[in-house]
Amino acid sequence: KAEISQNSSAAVIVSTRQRGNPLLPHMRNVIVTYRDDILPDYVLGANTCAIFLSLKYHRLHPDYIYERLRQLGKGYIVRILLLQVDIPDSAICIEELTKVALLSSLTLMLAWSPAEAARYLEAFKIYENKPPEVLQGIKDTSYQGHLNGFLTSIRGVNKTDVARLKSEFGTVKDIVQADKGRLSALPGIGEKKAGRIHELFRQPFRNL
Amino acid sequence: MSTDSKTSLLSYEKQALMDLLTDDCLVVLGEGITYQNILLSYLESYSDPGTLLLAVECPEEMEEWLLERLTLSETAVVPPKKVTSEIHVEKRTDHYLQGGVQFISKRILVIDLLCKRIPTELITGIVFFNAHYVRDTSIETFISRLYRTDNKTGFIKAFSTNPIQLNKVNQAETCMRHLFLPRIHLWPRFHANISECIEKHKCEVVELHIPLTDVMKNLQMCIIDLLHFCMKEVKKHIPSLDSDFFVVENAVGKDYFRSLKKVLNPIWSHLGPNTKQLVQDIKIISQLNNQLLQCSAVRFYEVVHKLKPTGASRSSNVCLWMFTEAFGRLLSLSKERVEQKEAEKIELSPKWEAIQEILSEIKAENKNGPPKNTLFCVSSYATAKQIVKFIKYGEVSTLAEELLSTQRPQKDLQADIPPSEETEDSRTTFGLEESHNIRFLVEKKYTMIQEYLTSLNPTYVILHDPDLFMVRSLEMFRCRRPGKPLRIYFLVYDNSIEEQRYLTQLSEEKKAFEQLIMMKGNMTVYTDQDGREGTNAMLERGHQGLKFKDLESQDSRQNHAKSFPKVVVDMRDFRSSLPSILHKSGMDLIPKTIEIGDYILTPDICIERKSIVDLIGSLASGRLFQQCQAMCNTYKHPMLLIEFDEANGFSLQNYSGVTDAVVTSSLQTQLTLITLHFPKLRMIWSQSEYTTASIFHELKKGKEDPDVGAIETVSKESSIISSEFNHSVVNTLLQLPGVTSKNYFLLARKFANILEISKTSQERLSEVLQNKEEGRALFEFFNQVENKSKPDD
Repeated sequence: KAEISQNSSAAVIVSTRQRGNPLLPHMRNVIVTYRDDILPDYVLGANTCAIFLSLKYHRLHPDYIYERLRQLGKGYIVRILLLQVDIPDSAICIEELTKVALLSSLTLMLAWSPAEAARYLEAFKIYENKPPEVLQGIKDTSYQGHLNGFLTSIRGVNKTDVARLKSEFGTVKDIVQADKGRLSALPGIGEKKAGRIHELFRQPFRNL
Repeated sequence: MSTDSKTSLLSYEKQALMDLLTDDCLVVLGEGITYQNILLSYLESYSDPGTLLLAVECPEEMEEWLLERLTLSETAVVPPKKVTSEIHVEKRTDHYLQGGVQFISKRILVIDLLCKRIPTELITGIVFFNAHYVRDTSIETFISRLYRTDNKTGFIKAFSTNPIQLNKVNQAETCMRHLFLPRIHLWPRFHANISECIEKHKCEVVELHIPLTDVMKNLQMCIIDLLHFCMKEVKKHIPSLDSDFFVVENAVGKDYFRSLKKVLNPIWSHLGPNTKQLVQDIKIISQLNNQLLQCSAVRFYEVVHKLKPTGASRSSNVCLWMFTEAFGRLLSLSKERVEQKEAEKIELSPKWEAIQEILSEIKAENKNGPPKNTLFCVSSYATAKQIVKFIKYGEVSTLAEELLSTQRPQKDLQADIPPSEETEDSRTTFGLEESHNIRFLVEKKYTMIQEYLTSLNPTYVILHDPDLFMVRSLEMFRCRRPGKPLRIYFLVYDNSIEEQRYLTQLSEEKKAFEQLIMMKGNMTVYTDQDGREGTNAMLERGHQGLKFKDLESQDSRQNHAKSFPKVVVDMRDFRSSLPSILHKSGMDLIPKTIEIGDYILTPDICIERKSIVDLIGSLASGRLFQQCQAMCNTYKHPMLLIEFDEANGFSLQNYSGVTDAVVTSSLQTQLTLITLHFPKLRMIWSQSEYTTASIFHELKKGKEDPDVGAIETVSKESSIISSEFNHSVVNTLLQLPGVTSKNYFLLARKFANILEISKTSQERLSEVLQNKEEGRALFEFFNQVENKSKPDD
């Protein structure tokens, strides 16, 4: 379709009906262009679009969103329903909209302020073609990185504990071989945590 | 029970045991009032193959003690057992059928009840601990419900040692209703039976009210002024906050900061950076209070000095309170206190002088007799170390040495404890020679304090810092050893914050008990509260039990009169309270170790559930990406459930503030990336487990139940870690350099555990890994001594 080819621009395309939305002044990291002929509220990439809904508005006009979604049809692959949570007792509203989103193949995103909503829209545009590395957790391969990874994989152990263990024992070997009493004598490491650390190093790899 | 080897029960213990034997009840004991002997006698009477008594989530140290005692007991017909995950599921039923007293974790019990591995109708009774935490969503509640549904004759008992917690917002009644307990028994320190007992075996108490020095008084004033100042500021920023939080007397309490934070958590995101900073500052300032009383003049000066705004580090976040007159005074006073040319003139901690007198008094008394033990009870390791130095070298040189050490890195102070051969003994002597006969006990709530005291066998106890738990424990200790003298030196600074705190602690507990006694008198106990007969509402399942009422609930209940919809739940998720709520809301649960997702609702719907903390962690580690990938590859409708916690408020901004730029480190951006990469993935944002349950019902409406067989095949094929191995250990193993998902099994098959690997030579590791480089990396990681980075001050 003609519309889709035009969408692959560098800008976020905003439907003119969104004018006046308080999130727009917060859109500072992307270029914004207005059009009056797009079905969604925001076009964020060749295959990505978003519909915006404030819960306050939804409470006053409960039929609005159903009508919009009917019009939107089945276009786009990544389809966002961006909700702004601006009422105090939002549980029932969100429950209803969760159902709506599932039925219409939309992914629900929640924002608690116009600025947060704007940041979502910008992120969708900016990372349109971003490879997933950020999400795959790039490993810190330095000594410290491995040390953190190794010790914090034990339940309850945090980075402060790692630093403390390291400075107390010197080598990882000594930490692994330390007895329970000495571990639990360290500030911040109670008997429980010491027990878990001690036990994990001695737990057999194989399931019996 | 009458034999000498066994501890004979004190009169209150006998009474408590009688109560325990007659009722389904909640037993509440005051701080430091012990109950392990009651429990031991009680459990002994159930150590019989014809009974099955389950002690659920017994505090670790007590469990060890009970296991040992019951094993040695002559009265016990069968030895006690422990149910662990190591006992294969197929052998579990046999294990239970052996009867007697069995210790079990709540997670294993709830799963075995659901899987019917435990003959529920044969259980004689269940004992719970820490009942003050029991809520509608607790696993204990879930266990009681499952148990009472199928077993109307067995008993339920519960213990709590926290009357203050129980007295909060109907907590006692809530707990009793959820655990089906019609009775409550209260054992405060002022209970006639207990006080009579303590009166009969009185300790010799020497109370030493030590006046603060003038400088300390002034410093204390400064700190209180600063607290006032910060609290006034916070009040300006958050006028809606309960005025109780702005009373300085409360602010010196032990848990003040925690409760303040708890109240602020739900609105944390709405607070400006200045307010947040102020709240943090209140914490720092109230800690100063402790440090003033605990530390030497030198160390205190050091602490205060570090707070001073130091150009670069603090300039961005300048704290107003640092420019008050009070802070200026605090700085100059603490400085004056140490800026003396000679060490002799430096102000000494007034308690040290008292200690010196006490020690010489004890020495004089025991000149000719056999050595007697002295026990120091202190509130921190640092204090213990200071006292050791003080005893070893005398006061002046201690301070002189400390003065020197402030110019050097702190390390010197820690060098005092022998680093390597740290035995139980050196932990209590802190490196002091045996001949002193002095032991230390660092303030901590040891569950088995009585045993500990017995092993230390003190004749003199010096309570360096007032502490209710220790005082009570010592009283009880004395009662248990009639005829053996015990003298307690109780040290407290007069008109100080620590005195105030101690008195508050006392009166709070007293108030809590008085209110609980009132409640006990007025409480409505329903005739069917014990759930043994009739229709206790707690045992009903279905939508109407949910917080959010569903209009269709009546309908759907009739349709599913006998069979509830089924959901497969990952075993590991039984730590959370969602399974309990799903079950109560009318779903049948099938516990299983599944590799993909946490909940399988229908053949197509798979849900990965994340609390916010998990979400942040698994986004950072890359695990969420893998999980989403696996879900999307396997299921038609993969969903990510983001579950907020009612206590911390429903807003992502509470956890990840909104930045001006778009950065990959923000939670919002990472969620965006997940959505972009997995367009099929749907998000469920839930404010509480109740909302989640309601959404699950919605999702399952009119859909098929999941195919349990199909899930199993899925899990075997796609698991990254072979089921041959223990997941949690292998996960840790995978964090090591040189270890990857392609070679970990070489190590896991050759070595028993991580300990063994740590002892292995580089050559052997390279050989096992079949790779020289990887072997070297692994060996170096274990043995390398990384240069420590310079201390930053």
